[in-house]
Amino acid sequence: MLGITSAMLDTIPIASYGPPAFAASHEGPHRESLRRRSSGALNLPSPDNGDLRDLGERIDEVRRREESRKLRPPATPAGIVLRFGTELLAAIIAGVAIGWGLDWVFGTRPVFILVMFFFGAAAGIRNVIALAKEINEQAMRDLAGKPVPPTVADDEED
Amino acid sequence: MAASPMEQFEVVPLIPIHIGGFDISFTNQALWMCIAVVAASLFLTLPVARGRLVPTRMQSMAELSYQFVADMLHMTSGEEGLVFFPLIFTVFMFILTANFMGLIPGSFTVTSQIAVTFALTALVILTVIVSGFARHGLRFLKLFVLDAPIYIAAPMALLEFIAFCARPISLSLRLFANMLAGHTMLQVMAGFVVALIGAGGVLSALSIAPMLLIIGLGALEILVAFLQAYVFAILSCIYLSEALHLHEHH
Repeated sequence: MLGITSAMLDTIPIASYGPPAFAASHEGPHRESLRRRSSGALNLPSPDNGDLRDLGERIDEVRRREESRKLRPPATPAGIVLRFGTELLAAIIAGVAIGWGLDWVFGTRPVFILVMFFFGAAAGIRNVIALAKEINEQAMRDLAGKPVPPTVADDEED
Repeated sequence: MAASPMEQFEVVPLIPIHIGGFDISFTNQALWMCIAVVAASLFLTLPVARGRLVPTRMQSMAELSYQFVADMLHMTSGEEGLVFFPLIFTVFMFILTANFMGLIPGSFTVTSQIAVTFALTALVILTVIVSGFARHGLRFLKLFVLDAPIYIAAPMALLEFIAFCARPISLSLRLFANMLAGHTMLQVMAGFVVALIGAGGVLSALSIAPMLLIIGLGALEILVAFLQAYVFAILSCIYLSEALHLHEHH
């Protein structure tokens, strides 16, 4: 439990590492204009602006992907069980509901419900597999991230 | 005294209102939703109204919750995603307040009603659909199309569509089930305490065991109350981000 709470607290002060545009919007327009003025005063040979912006966008993209993965809810065993259950159940409910609707439209009562039930179950299983994969990856990352006690003395590795 | 553990979830009309055959009575649920909205608004506005440079504890809590949601949204859906900040922040604060207030003995847990959680989910998913179509037009439907030969892509598109429809259901079901299960468990344990004390003799001494369990469960419920609001908000962010960026992230 302690691990979970500290992991959640870790997510709070990320702001300062955020992409520059976001940080700037928090600092207000004053700081931004100040920075622009000072960079203009230096009159450095600036690299192509388009390239730089492109690179910045790519970095933002990667960071966003990584951070969003890191922000996934921390897992408790009961939570995982409940997630699997709801994921499977929800897809089946959705499938049957769609089938019901199609039957209502075409007046073919059991046909679409039956067909869509199986499609719903398939979608549910697909969701569960995706979820299991995600949880496994998360667990592997957590395992990799943990500091492993060194078995070899440090100077021998270099 | 030892009432049914499900009694706490009963919706009771306080002020019966019937208009045109519709029952729109003001219920205990409506009352507690109003209380949650007022409490959340006060929590966010009152401490910040003074706006000190060195924040008081309450002010920094209000500011932290703002920052927390802003970061969450920014990390998942980037700069453009911040358009949805008011929605996500409102939903998050409402669920969080409702969850926490549900833990007060004698209160009513609005988030343990599937009608409430599904309404919240419908709000989020409709925003996803509307903004997705507004931004990408019909290309939004590419969300369902896999990069594969047609005989694989066609049935997969159906599966993807069902999976998409399943999202609001699983999202609302998860919040609802967590709150329902937690509160039922607490009530059942409390029922044990009453029953054991009523039994007298050695058995009433044993009532300390479920009592201790209630303390543990209570702590867990506080965690769950926060966690479920968080899960709801972050999944909403992820769905919104998908509507904004389509398949970019794959």
